[in-house]
Formats: sequence, C-alpha cells, structure tokens
Amino acid sequence: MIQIFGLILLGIVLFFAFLKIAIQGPSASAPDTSAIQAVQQMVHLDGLSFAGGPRLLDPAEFHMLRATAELREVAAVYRRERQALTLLWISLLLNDVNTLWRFRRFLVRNGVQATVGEEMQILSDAVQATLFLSFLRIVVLTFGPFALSGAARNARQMVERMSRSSASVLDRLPRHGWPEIERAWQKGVA
Amino acid sequence: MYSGAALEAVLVWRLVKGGIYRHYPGFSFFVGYVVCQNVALFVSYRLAPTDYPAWYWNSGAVQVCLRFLVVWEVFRQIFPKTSPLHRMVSKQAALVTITLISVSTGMLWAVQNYSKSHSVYLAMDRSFGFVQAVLILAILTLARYYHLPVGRNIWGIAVAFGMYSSLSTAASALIDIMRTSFFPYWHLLSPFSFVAMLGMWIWAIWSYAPNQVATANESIDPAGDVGRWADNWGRAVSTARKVLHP
Repeated sequence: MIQIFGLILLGIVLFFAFLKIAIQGPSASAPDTSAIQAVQQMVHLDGLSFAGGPRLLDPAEFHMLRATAELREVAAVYRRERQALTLLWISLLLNDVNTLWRFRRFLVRNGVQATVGEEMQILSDAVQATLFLSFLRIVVLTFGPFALSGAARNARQMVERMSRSSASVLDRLPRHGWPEIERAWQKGVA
Repeated sequence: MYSGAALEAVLVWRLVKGGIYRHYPGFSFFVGYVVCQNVALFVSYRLAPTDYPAWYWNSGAVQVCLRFLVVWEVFRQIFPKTSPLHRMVSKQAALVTITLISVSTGMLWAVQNYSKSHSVYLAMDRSFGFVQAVLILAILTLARYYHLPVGRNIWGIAVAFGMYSSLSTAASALIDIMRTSFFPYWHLLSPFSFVAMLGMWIWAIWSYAPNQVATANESIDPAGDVGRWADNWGRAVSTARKVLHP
C-alpha cells in the first residue's frame, strides 16, 4: 500500500516537474562564443570585464584584521575603501546594463529580427537588473561591502545574461556585417 | 474518441509531410502502432464486441512497452553518436533503465498490489510509466545541465510524453487504492491526457526543427586539457583540506 501511495505522489511530482519545463519552454540556443566576444568588443563593458569582483567582496581579510585588537582601525579603513570600490563596481555594472540595453535596441532598430517575446524578456531582464543593482547600492551604502557578497555576485550574472541575449541577436547577422554594425554603433555613441 | 482519431490523423499527416518520420523512426513507429491499435479496436468494437476487452487490454499492454521507443528516440536525438557526450552517458543510461525497470517492476508489481486490481495492464502502466517519466526527465535534465540545445520537435515530444506518463502513473496507482470510485475520473483523465499529448506532439512536429548537433571542438586537446583540469582540481582540493585542517 505504501508503495502505491508513493507512486501516486511521485507521479504527481513528476507531472509538475514536466509542467514547469513546459512553462519554461524550449531552451533558446546559446549564442556562439565569437558573438559574445564581439559584443564585448563593440560595447565596452567595464563592470563585466572586472574580474576581481569575488575578491573585492570577500570578507576574509577584513575579519582577519578585525580579529586583532591593534588592527581594528586598519580594518575600518580597509572596509571604507572596499565600500567605495564596491559602489564604483556596482555603478559600472549599472552602466553596462544600460549600454547593453541600448545596444540591443540599436541592433533591432538596424533590422536584426527579434520577436516581441524576446523584447519583453530583455525589458524584464534590464528592469530587474537595474532594480537589483540599485537595491544593492543602498545595501552596500548602509551595511557595508560584505553584507550581501553573494547577492553582488548574482548582480554580475544578471549583467552577463543581458550580454548573452545581445550576443544571440548579433549572432543572427552574417559575420561579415559585424564590422559595419560596430562602426555604426561607435558613431552613434560618439 | 473522434477528437483523438482526428488528432492522430493530423499527427500522421505532419509526420509524412516533408518526410519528418524519417528523422524520428522510433517515435514514428510508436505513432504508427497507436493508429493501427485504434483502428483495430474500432473494428473489433463494431464486428466482435465480445472480443473488444481482450483486444483493448492486450494491445494496451504492448503499447506501454512500445513507449520506450519514444524514450529511446529522445535519447538518441539529444545524445547522437557524433556527440562527445554519447560515449559518456550511453552505458549509464542503459544500466539505469534496466535497474529502474527491474526495481520498479519488482516493487510495484508485487503480489499484494497486483492482487487488488487483478489487472496486469494497470500494474504495467504504473511501473513502466514511472520508469519512462523518470528517464525522460533525466534526459532533459542532462541536456539542460550540459547546455545542449534541444529543438522544438524533440522538446515537445519529450515534455508531452513526460506529462502523460507521470499522469498515467498516478492515475493507474490511484485506481488500485480508490477502485471503483475513481473509475469515472480515470475514464476521463486517461483519454484527455492522451489527447493533450497528441495535441502537443502536433505542435512540436508541425515543422522540422532538429536539435543542433553538438560536436567535439577540434581546438581542444582532450588529454592536455583534462590533465590541466586535474592539476587545478587537485590543487583546489588540497587547498580546501589545508583550510579545513590547518
């Protein structure tokens, strides 16, 4: 009897798992690596190109300094400096989001095919990333740079997601057209 | 009944049009069997109504077994022989399938369960349906884990089949507990879920949309890269050990 009950439960759980997959829809094909690199080359992503994010948010050294009574003051200075750097990094990530969003609109304006669903998705991603980064800025300002280190790493992932979606749109263009797009974009930015 | 027949006809039409059936032989064979089964059942119902129940349950039991063809089709399309992942997962997949079938059949087809409903079909439906749903979910999860692009054809076939199999598992098990009180619902749930699966399959195979083939990257030197990865991994593990036990 227990086995039968277990099977009923498992059947229902499996059904909901499939339902979730069905709602998510087929996985969109990942853009080619060269398209991602091309986007990063065309659009200067200072926040995303900064590789020291995890180290910046790592509280280990701060805790080590604070643990020693004589180094408490050094720890406070260290914390303030890290806070300023983290705020700068968040501002750069916010800039990246805005630039990628503009770049995507620029590509669609220049004739790259995109569906309404994709546009709604990018709009939602951009709004979410902007809100999240703004919230993070307030948290870092209020509670310091190590308060939500995990969340700050997620912020980077959100910007990366936007970069990939721009790359997937660029990937639809023939490669020989990319330099032309880059020139037009640089002209528009200037 | 007529909606199911109409959907089956449309499904066969889409498979034949443009030769989609050639790309998905396992799936097409299963669809072909279902169509023939229903035609045979209809003829039996009209000409020899007394034989109809035997035809229904026996052909249904064969159909439950043939559903593994759909699982196999999904597997071979997502992990084709050209894919570097094929070698890695094919043996494990066969092993997992055999183990799951053996364990679930042994457990769920046990005498005390089987003796309540006295139906081989229901025992088969719930145990095999469970295995099939788990296998499909495992294949889709692996595809997602390795970021394998799954085309609309196979994605639709797999998800619809998974939903149907899991519902069928739960329904066949429920009938053993609730017996006659669940029969009116089972009579609705079973055909409706099948019709929904047919509808989703039609949407999925409306046009040929295969998976992108994942091939081995020529620029990667497997031995060298694996060696470098193993060095880094070893270093990471020993560092972690040092941190944990200074």
